[in-house]
Amino acid sequence: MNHRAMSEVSRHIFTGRFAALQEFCFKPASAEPLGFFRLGLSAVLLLQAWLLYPVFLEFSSAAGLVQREVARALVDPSLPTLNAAAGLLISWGLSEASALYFLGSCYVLSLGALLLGRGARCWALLAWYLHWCLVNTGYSGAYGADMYAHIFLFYLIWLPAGDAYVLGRWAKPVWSWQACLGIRVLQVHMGLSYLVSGVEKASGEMWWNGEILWRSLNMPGYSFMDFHWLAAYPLLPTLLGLATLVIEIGYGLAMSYGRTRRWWVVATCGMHLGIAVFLRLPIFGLLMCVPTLALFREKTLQH
Amino acid sequence: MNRRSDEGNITVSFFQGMVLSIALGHLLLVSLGAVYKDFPGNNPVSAGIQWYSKASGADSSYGFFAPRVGSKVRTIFDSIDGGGVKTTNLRLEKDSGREAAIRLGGFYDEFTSKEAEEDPEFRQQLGATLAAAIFTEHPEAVQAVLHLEEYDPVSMEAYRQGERSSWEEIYQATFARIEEKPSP
Repeated sequence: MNHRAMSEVSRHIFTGRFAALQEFCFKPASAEPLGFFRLGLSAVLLLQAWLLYPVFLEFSSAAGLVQREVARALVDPSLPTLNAAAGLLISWGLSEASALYFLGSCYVLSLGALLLGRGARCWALLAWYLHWCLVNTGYSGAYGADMYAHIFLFYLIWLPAGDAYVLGRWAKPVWSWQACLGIRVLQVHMGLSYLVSGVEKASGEMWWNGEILWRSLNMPGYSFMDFHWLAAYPLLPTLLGLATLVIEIGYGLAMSYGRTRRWWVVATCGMHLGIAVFLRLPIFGLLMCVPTLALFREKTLQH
Repeated sequence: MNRRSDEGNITVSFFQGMVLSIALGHLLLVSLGAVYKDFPGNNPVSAGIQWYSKASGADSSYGFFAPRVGSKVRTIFDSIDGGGVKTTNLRLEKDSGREAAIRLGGFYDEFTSKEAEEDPEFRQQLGATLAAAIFTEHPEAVQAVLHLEEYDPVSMEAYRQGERSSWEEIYQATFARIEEKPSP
């Protein structure tokens, strides 16, 4: 093959790939997956707010469980808190508890409005900011569910998640290239996070010999029943540990192919529901089902 | 708005190119955060990008239960009133649900953090803040004794050979109530 023919072939390959990339990122898509994502996220966070309501002041007020000086030492000082806003409300005559309850109510209100969908981006901005402040006010003991909530709420500020499943025009999702690009960014983010999580797990011996499940399920406070009987059947926790590695490391690849996608959606949601039930992490488990169910259904991939 | 060219391909506008570049930059920050790296540099631009990473959550890492699960830590208090009467086995965990317990557990884990291991004063401060909660709940108490306990499950093999896990005390501290003097 001469030089000219070779460059012609490479031009075709390059332009073909570029066209595929353009289609991957910009071919107009329905905002329905993003609308579903918004609904799922706000519903789970409302449930979390309801569960935390009784102990809200214990974790956020100066008179709570963790004194402010100690809490300050545990939180990055460059991050925003509700202290300034609460201070302003206190200067207007409110007690600290009333000021914090007011700001907490604003957070719940923004999640409720986000659920309904009208003006989704504005409500997402408010919910994201208040969630971030709440996590950094006092000592929140933020864990994985809060971290993902922060990430997902930030995405909802930018993505057209209010173009579907909106009160008043429920069944008419808008199609746009912004929806397509938004879905792709979220898909890549999820694929990356599962891959890194899986590889990090695989670097520890405990994930290969079943000890990880044995320890987690028998840790006081985690399990809802006695799982010491697993010691007699070590193959079971070993297989479950290996399955977790396969699901997480293979997530991005398996979700890219139609044949494996449906199985991986079921397996991933099964894994998270298992975490929700057996490790008693319901908010984390439910929250992690949301992106998989929203972003990787057959309907999502159809343009 | 994207258009289709004569060949049926989608053409990308300058604006779309800009949006894609920002999205790719964001995903690059996500990748750095995932492998525990900060955006490099020590100048205002880097500081701005690092702040954006925090704001967007791009600085997050994803090593849940990885590479191993450590031990669990809990606190138990004894309170002693003015007459020397001791009440044992006081817990801060109430029946307030799993979400609250996870958060309290996160605070207990601070006792075994590297910072607390290296700085006994910091560990004492952590204990003092919990002791203050005990004093609030038990106004009659003049002293609170903190017992920090750790539970490290034995392996499956050890369990089969008869070993059993139990809570072991790893730290103890006594805190006294300081009476506030009434202002004149």
